[in-house]
Formats: sequence, C-alpha cells, structure tokens
Amino acid sequence: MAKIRQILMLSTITCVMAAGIQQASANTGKADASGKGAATPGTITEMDYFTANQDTTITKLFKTFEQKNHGVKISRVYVAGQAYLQKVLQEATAGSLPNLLMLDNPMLPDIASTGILVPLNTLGTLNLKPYFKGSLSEGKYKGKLYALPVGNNTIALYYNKKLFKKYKISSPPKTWAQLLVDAKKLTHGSVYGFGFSAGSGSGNVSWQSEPFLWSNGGHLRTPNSASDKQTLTFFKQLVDAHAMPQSVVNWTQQDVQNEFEQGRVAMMINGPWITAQLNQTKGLDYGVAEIPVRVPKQKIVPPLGGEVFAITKSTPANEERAFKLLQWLLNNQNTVQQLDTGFGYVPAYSSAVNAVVKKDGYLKVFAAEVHTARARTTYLGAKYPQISAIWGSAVQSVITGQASISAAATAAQQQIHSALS
Amino acid sequence: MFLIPLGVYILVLFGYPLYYSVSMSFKNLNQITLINGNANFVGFQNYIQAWSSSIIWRSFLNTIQFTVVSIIMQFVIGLLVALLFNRRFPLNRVLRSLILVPWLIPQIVSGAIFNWMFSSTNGVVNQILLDLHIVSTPVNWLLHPESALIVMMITNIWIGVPFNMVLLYSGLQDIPREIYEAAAIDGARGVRSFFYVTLPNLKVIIGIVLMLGLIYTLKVFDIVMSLTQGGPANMTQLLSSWSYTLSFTNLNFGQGAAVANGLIVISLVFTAIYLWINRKTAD
Repeated sequence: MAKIRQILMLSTITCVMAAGIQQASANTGKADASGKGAATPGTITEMDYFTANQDTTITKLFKTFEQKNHGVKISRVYVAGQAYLQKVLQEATAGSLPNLLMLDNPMLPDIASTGILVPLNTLGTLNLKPYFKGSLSEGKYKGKLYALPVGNNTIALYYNKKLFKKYKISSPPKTWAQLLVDAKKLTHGSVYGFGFSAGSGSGNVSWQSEPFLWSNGGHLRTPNSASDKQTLTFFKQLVDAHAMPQSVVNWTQQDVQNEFEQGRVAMMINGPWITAQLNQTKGLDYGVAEIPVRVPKQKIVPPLGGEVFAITKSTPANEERAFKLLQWLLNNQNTVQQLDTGFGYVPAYSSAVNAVVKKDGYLKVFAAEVHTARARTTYLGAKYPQISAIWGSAVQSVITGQASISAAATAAQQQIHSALS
Repeated sequence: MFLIPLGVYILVLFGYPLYYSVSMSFKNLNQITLINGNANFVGFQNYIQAWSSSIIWRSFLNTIQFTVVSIIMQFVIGLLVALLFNRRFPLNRVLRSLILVPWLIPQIVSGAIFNWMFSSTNGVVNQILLDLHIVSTPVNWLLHPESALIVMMITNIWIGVPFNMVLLYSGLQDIPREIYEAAAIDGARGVRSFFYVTLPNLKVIIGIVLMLGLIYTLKVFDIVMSLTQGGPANMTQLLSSWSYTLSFTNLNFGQGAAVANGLIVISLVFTAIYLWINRKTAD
C-alpha cells in the first residue's frame, strides 16, 4: 500500500515538471492537418485492456495498419482491466502515456480536464456525421472532441431457454412483477431463478443495478427518493422469495456468467461481450431480452458502456501518426464493422450498425437498448465513482438483510450528502 | 541491542513513505488533481471526512478484532508446533520444511483457495459439515460480516503459523540443555519446566514474534481483497483495505492517505508501548 502511494507521489512530482515541458512543446508547432495519405514511419504506442476475442480482433487490425503504412510499428501494451485505471493515472503523472490511449468512457471527461489530451480537430478532419450523438458525446469535454468511441455496449437480460420450456414460461419477462413470478417458477433445488452481479467494486453492483434504478426514474444520488426505494424493494422481494441467492453480493460479472453457464441461475444480467463464450458452452440454449421495467409504460434506461480512444500530447510527429491510426480504425465504415463484430459491440458509427447486428443476432436487443442508454457520468461527473459506491453499499445491505430499506436508504443519503458538499 | 535493527527496519519501512503519505493527506488529491498537479492544501478536511464516516469505525473495530485474534492464535499454535518439532522424531526435518508452505504461498493465492473452500454453493467446508450432519443447509460464510470475518481470520492464522513456528523453534533450540537438566534436578519437569524454563528463556523471541506479527497483521490486505473485497456493504473492511478502496475505487487519494496514516499511527503507538515495556523489563 505504502509503496503504491509512494510511486504515485513520486510521479506527481515528475508530472509537474513534465507538464511544463509538454506545455512548451504544445506551443511549438501544430501537426499537419491534411489527414490524407500514409502515416510517416515511426512507432505508435498504444495501451488498452482488451482480452479474448477483443484482443485477437484489435491485434489483427493493428497488423493490417502496419502493412498498409510502411515503416509504422504499433507497440501495444495490455494492462489487466482491474489495474487499468491505476496504470493510466500512474503513467499520466509520470508524463509517459502512450500516444493512443484507450479509456473506459466515464473516465474521458476527467482525463481531458487535466489537459493531457489533444483536441482532435487540431490534428485533422474527421467525418463526424455518421456517429450517434450520444456515443460521440462520450468523447467530448467542454464542447471539444477528444476521443472517438470504439462502439457501445450495455447490459440486458439473458435467459435459459431450456429451463423456460421446462417450467412452461413462454416469453421473457417484461415487468418487475413478471420477473419475480418467473424467477419463483424457475427456482428449484440448487437452481435460482435470477441472479445479477451485486459484488463490490466498479463494474459490478452499481453498473448492474442502474438499469433497474434509472428506468424507474431513480438516481444514484437520491437513495431516499420513492423511485430509488422501489428499486431496493424489488431486490428485497427477489431475495425474500428465495428466487435470487443472497450470495450475489459476492459475485462479479464473471461469476454471474459462470453460474448461468452451469445452469445454476436461470436468468441473469450481463453484456454482449460474453455471447462468444456462451455460444461455446455445450448444452446451453439461451436468449437475450431487454431488462424488465417496473410498469409497462416505462422505457429501459441502461448504463452506456464502451471504450473510447484518445490521443495524448507528445511531439507533433507522434500525435500525427496516432491520429492517422485513430482515423483509420474508428472513422471508417469498413474497419469499424470488423472491429465491432469482433468485439461484440453495437457500432457508434451508424452506417456500420446493420452489417454488425446482422452477423450477431443477439446484438439486436443491445442495439435497441443503446438508443435509450445513459452515460454514467451524466449527472455526477468526477463524483461518479464515490456516489455509485455508496448506492452499491445500500443495495448490498438490503440484499443481505443487514439493514431495512428505509435504514439503508437514509444512511446512504447521509453519506452522499456529505460527499457532495 | 537487538532493538537497533528493528528500529532501522521501522524507520525505513514506515518513516520514509510516511512523509509522502502525510503530505498527500493534506491535499484534495483525486483523479484530476493527481494528473494536473493542481492539488490544493485543504488542512485537516480529509481527516475529518475520512474519520467521521460510519464505515471507518466498523473497519477500525474489524481491524482490532482481526489483529488480536490472529496474533494470539498464530502465536499459540505456532508455539505448540515449535515445541513438537523441538522433540526428536523421524521425518522431523522434512515435516518442518513442509509446514513452511503456507507462508511461502502468495497471500492472494491463499485467499483464493480459502474463498473456494468456503464457497456457499460448492465449497468443500460446507460439504464436510453437511456430510457430518453438523449443519442442515449450506452456510453462507462470506455473506454475513461475522462469519466472513472468521473466514478471514482463519486464512490469516493459517498463513501466519509457520512464521511464528520458525522463529520460536530457533529460540527453543538456543536454550541450553543444561538448564533443563538443572531444572529437572530441582524438580521442574513437564509443564512446570515449560513455565519456569522455556517461557522465560524465550522472552526476547516472543517479543519479536508478537511485534512483527502485529506489523504484518495490520498490513494484511490481499486476504480481504480475495475473500470479500471488503463487502458486503463495506462491513468486512479493514483499515488497510478501506484505505485502498477510498484511493482506488472512489479515487479519493487524499482521504485514502488520511486513513492509511491513522493505521501508521496505530502501529507507532504499539511500537512505543513495546519499547517502553521492554525497557522496563531490561532495567
């Protein structure tokens, strides 16, 4: 612990000096704004957390770019997802970030506000018309575009078709009440009807409970409101009916996937990136549906997931090369189709959507959800990590029965109040 | 005399990072100010906010419970095992090496193994308890704060026993046989020789073992992360893991440092008490 902090602090000092140097170099010259033609020979450094089929896809595309641009080498650094943010902060304070930087979309405003990213319009021209407005906004900070979206994802309801048939459920639930009834029907012995990831840490409890909360008009910052309490009540009903195991509070998204694959959970919440693995699971017949809402007239509002690529400040030559790669990778229908098909994402580039969704039918549901999805930092900005963690704790204490709904909501409201003040 | 290396040890491993940690805790360091270097001095704000939350007191009590139980159990079991190995019997040397294994395995791996053993759905511990008809339904070990804390302590004790055993064993080996023989002539055998000969001669070693055990246990972090991640609802956080969560999940580096510094103060207090007791007994 102490050591990690020591490194961080040391690098903070380096950062102050590096920032000064960067300031100087940023003023010396603007990169070539043409945007056409091959990239100049040299190395482009890049960093991301893509694994499995996403890793193979991006490696393949980078090779293609190297072949097309003689003398250009892409040096890709992979950092595991859980350590990624720490690594970015560490490299940023040390002034040693890669030229092309992948960021999970909620992080973009924070990183852009520190001034270490280059506004894309200063590097060349991009064709921005084909992008969905919401997706493009993920790359914007104070009106300037700093990053392009890789594609979008969100989470939906996965259900086990065999178990649905066995207990005579004809279609996936559309409302919370139906979900509760179906989950009860599906619960037998060691098989639970429903499960979601309510574990601690980012990407688990808050991310997975947001679709329920937001569709019902609730907010992370108002746990004491009626809409928020209704959401907590729903989770409690699932537990009280024994249709969802209390141990979901220890489950990560990966754990939920494992339980579903092994048939121990009949319905789960998860993202499109797992379909490739589910398709390889023997004897598993599954379907994907939109996450149920409380009352039929509500619209599903899931959290918007997906990564963006930004260019960091360095020498004009480095920035220009990185821009060429970004332009080719994400501002070009052909490569976007290949990329998002391999990634299992809904393209943010509208003209690529049909081709990608056609190849992976499951994406249709996610594509529909993305239209009403909300970016996670919309209301909370830089406070999102802290406030979402407090909401997550409230959900966990209700599921484990440590606190009543009103006690958990009141306690969370107090913590949020002092965190926002 | 033996305090000098210990003093240097504490100074190097606690003193140097302490300076950085203290300076961080007085600034409004978050993900943004960390990068652009615009962190302002905010006085004691981080300390006030961090130490007035309800989670911190839960973590504090957890840390005390975890540390006290772990150290006592590690020491008692470690001493019993050391006494066993102090006797001559076949395979003594082989078994003594084998018992070191838990201490050599990275804590994160031990944590993962115990997580699997205590899993509520398919853990081996529940299986055994069910087969022996001790429980009728699987126990949700990691779900309730009380039982999760017990699992954390069992894991930590399992890891710490070899360390205690090795140091105490070397201490036992250093006690001259003549003392036992002389004591035997004076009528001290068995349990009495343990209390009148062994323990007084082990005093110095026991002091070191308990002190190092305290420092190691206060720093325990991997076990929490691999077993519960501090959850559910932050009820199984230790000060170490809560400091980490504040820094790297909530990205509030200033408050994270404020908690970590509290932990260091606790360590220093115990070190001071230890030094004081030691000086008194040495006089």
